[in-house]
Amino acid sequence: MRSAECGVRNKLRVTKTGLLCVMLLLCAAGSGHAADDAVQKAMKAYEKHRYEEGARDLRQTLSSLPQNKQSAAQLALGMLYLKNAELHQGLFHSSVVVNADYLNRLARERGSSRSKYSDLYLGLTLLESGKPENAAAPLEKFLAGTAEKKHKAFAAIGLGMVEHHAGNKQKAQDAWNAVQSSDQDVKTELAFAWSRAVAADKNAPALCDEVLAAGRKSGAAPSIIAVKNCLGVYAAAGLMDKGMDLLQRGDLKSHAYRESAGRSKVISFYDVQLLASLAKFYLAAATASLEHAAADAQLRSIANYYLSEASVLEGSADQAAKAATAFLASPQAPPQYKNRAMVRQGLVQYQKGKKADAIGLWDELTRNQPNDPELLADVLFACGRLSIECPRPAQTAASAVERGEGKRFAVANIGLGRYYVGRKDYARALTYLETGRDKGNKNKIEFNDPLMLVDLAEAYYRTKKYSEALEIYFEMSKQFPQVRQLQEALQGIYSMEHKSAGDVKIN
Amino acid sequence: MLRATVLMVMTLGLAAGSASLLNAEETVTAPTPSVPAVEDVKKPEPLLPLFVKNIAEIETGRNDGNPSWSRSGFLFTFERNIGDKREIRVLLNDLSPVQTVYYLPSSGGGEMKFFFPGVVEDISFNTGITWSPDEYRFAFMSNGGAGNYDLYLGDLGGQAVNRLTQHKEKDGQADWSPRGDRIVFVSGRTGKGDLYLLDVATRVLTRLTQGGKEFLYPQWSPDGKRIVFMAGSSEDHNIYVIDDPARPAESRRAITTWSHDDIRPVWSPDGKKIAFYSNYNPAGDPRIWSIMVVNADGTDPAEGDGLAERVAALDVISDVERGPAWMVDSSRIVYVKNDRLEYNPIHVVNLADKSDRPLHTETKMNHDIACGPDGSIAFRAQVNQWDQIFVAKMKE
Repeated sequence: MRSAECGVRNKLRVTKTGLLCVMLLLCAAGSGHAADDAVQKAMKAYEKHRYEEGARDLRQTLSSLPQNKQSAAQLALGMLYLKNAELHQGLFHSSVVVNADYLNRLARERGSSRSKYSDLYLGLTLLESGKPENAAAPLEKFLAGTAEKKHKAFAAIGLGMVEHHAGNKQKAQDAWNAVQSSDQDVKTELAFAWSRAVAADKNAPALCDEVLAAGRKSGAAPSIIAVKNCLGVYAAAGLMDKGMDLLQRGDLKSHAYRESAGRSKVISFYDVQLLASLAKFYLAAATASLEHAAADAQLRSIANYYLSEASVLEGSADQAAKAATAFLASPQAPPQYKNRAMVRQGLVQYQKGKKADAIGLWDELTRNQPNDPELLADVLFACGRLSIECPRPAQTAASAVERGEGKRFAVANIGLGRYYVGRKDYARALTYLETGRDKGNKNKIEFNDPLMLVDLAEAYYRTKKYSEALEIYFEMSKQFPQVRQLQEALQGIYSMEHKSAGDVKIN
Repeated sequence: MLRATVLMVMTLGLAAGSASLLNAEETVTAPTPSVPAVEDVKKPEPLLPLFVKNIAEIETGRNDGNPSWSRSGFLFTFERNIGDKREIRVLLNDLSPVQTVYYLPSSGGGEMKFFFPGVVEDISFNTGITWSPDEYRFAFMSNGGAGNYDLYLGDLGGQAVNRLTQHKEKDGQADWSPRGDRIVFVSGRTGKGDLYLLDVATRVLTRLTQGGKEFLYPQWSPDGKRIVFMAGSSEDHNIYVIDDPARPAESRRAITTWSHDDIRPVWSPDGKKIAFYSNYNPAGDPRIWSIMVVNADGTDPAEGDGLAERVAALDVISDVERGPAWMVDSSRIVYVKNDRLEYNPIHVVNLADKSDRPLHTETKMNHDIACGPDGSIAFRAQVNQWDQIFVAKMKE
């Protein structure tokens, strides 16, 4: 602005000076443009669903951006992390399902080539399945057998976590305290257990720091077990920079253990908790960035919208409601996003036990805007997320997609598809999801929301269309290598059922 | 009636799709003027330009139009249509960009749209820039994305925009007085469009006309004392001058009174003449437009043969966005000839001897002529069916 005023003041008095000043203004604006470019590039990556890439590139330029662009950059970063968190929650959920199936089948096998480690990884997977008590039996079985000490320590720590989930805090502490190992992976496994149990007398981040520093000294890349554990630890402690550094150095497609069972059988095991750690870490990073952006009065309203979504993912209903209310109070909020925030308020009400209020709100929104595909999809996403029945929105959306023009109503088809995934009606889910996705670029994440693709892959898996599910995971793994654990497990099931290795490659 | 409607639509921004209007215009079959047989006509030698250049990269997907210079010639502006939105581009006279005027307050500065993917952007329509005498400030008409057209005030090189008028009916066609204190504009708040004066410092409004018909396109005389405008209804507008804006009714006099449609009056740079378009022509075809030039002091006849003799150019394209374009010496007018075989070429008519010669620009479907103080001529022309702005300068 000062340059502009300079240009104006000199304009008529000394034309050449005026020209120079205006040109200086344009040059000064140029540095702002570089900042705008970085944020714009990040937002393009966001729209193309390239969350990892977009966040990485923007983060790299963050320190070089001028002060007045920091809030916008943090907002874009927060949005990218938030989407990545949501995606990894979806991937984690699918991976638990597929890996539990796969490992159960492996564990049921008999004979000399039976995998010993399937018990351990089945136990660790069941720990994350929502029914941790089911993990005890396979973990105890693994402990009773012969295996490397390191892996027995993992099983012991897992059993401690079963106790912790059952509310037996002391038993859990005792189990973890009994684990004595100098193994670096075991140390991080313990650190993560303590972190999850919020053990006040243990400094989990310091333990991770120590292990990772030792690895750095030796020049070795951090193991995938250390990555999984320390990401979770750093997320809980809000140590985002350390987590980002770890993410850069880790190889997310690595297996946790590879077992040779029999003469020609090699089985790779993955820990599903990696995806949960990634989801938690990205969520913590999103919240930190969005809170930074919310400090800027100009961006506060927008940041509040995304903060309410972050709080929903985190399970903080009150925080979500507060942020959504603040966003809705903004007169400039676009109607489409206002609808979305209101739908989210219903979701929060439901989580707080006001189920009838939530359903009533969604029904009213649906009644008032029966031809708005975005709104219908938002309501159905919410219902799908809670796995609850929402008959009115589902019927309204089904009628709308039958009447409506295809492309505009693609989002409503996807909403219905995801709703029916939540209702475990996979055949119907497939019909809607296939109708809604971009057929010309059917598995490309640039053209399809990867979270929708995750749901679609799960619907394919549940209806035993393994090749189709594998194709989706293959495409996703190009951008998200950590999808490898889903590919391998599904490939394993595919080969067990069809007695073949399948025709879909895993990169 | 149609003509009058188009005038209001195009200039008060009622037509969000004015770009398509411009294109559609090219598809209309032009009326055939009564002219002598081709073999009888000795074509005048074309004027050769020193240069003809496009001011921006030739691109498709947007239509540029309505070029103009500030009074000193230091600043150059044009309007860019992309889809339904229109923005005003401000450049220095060397064509280097200064700023874009695109007022969209409802967008929350753009952040709401930027960080909420999928939200459709509001469309803002901005047009009719007019500069203060010192060229530090400018006024323009905008709907601010909300659909209501009002006048706004901006600073050269600045980003802040302040509202000048606020009314549910449209305000537009502003012209900033050369004396700097007042802006004359048209408002739909009374009648079919009345003239108002806005005191820039106090924002006090003074109504100059009292309805009954539509009053359009006011323009201050170069000395800032008088205002010329058109008034009428249907296809019968006449040209008027208010000699003393403090006594608008008493000092109003008609420049034309006949039944032909006279539109878009423009003062000559020396303030002695007024040029305007009229659908008077010797053939009596109301679809054919002429440029007429009369004395501003009212000493010329207001109708009849006496006025008919004041035709300066016949069979012209009447561009309501700009009006006839005076060269700075007040002795020549640059206009677009209605000649589809030659793709509507640019002509220059010398008022002293009525000699009329084409300007060899090699551009097609020309429109919106504007003359700069240094003799430059700006105009829009079609390239691959999209409107681009060109600047030319004659050798002499």
